[in-house]
Amino acid sequence: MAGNVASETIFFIGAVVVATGLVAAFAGTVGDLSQGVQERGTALAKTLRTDIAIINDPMNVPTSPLVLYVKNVGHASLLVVDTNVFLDGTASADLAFDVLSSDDDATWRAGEVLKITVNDLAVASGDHRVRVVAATGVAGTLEFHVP
Amino acid sequence: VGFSVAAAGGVLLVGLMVGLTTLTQAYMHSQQGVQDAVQVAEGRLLELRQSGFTIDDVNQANGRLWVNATNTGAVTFNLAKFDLVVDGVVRTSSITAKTVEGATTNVWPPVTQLLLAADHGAAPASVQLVAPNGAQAFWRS
Repeated sequence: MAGNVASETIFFIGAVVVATGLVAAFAGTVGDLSQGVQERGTALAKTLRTDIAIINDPMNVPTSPLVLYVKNVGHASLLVVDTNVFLDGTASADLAFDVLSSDDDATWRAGEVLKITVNDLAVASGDHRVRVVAATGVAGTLEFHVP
Repeated sequence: VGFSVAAAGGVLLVGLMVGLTTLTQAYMHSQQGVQDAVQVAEGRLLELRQSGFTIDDVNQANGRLWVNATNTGAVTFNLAKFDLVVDGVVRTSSITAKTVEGATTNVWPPVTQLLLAADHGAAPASVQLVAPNGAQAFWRS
């Protein structure tokens, strides 16, 4: 009788320990999933709040070197350093940034214009397509002609 | 044995319920943020569709550039975040005065005329105004 009670107790403790272990493992997975869902939602919300527009005059784009004026027309600030420029599909590796009318060239606030000087891509005569991609993935495109 | 299985089942059930509640709360919180951002984005697109302005006239004399523009849309603009582009170069910092219907202000309501003055030494070939929401108007000589 005493042996039966002992084995029942051991079985009970074992079952509860195994169940608790499973719940702990499940809790870890749920925690990771919850964090992923929240991070994904935050990133998507930030993308939706940001937008940029290239405001160069297509008839008069400075080309030696190529200078682009890009306005933050969204509702959130952007990190300048994460901005990329593609000229006719080729990415530039030598960009100089200047947030106009601002002492802080690292942050590009809503309404501000970012001047981007493309130092490594030559612009020949003909039609061109330039694409500026900001940190959140939002992009602006400009098509222009160089005589 | 039955009691042990029931206890283990209870622990699993409670864990499952807590986990699902946590996941649901995270999803709802995330969705709320995305919905708010969608509304902001839709509002921005609607504002852009309702925006419109034209540059009626540009004059240059004595080192000063004068730009006359009319708000032809349904949006009241904040002129503090307007940009001026002259001959392909942003010259916003050269703006010296902004008057709407004769009054110095940064508020530009629909169906009113803006007179913008800027320092500029030569007669321009092109002038462009850019609104905070990205709406643009061009003038060419």
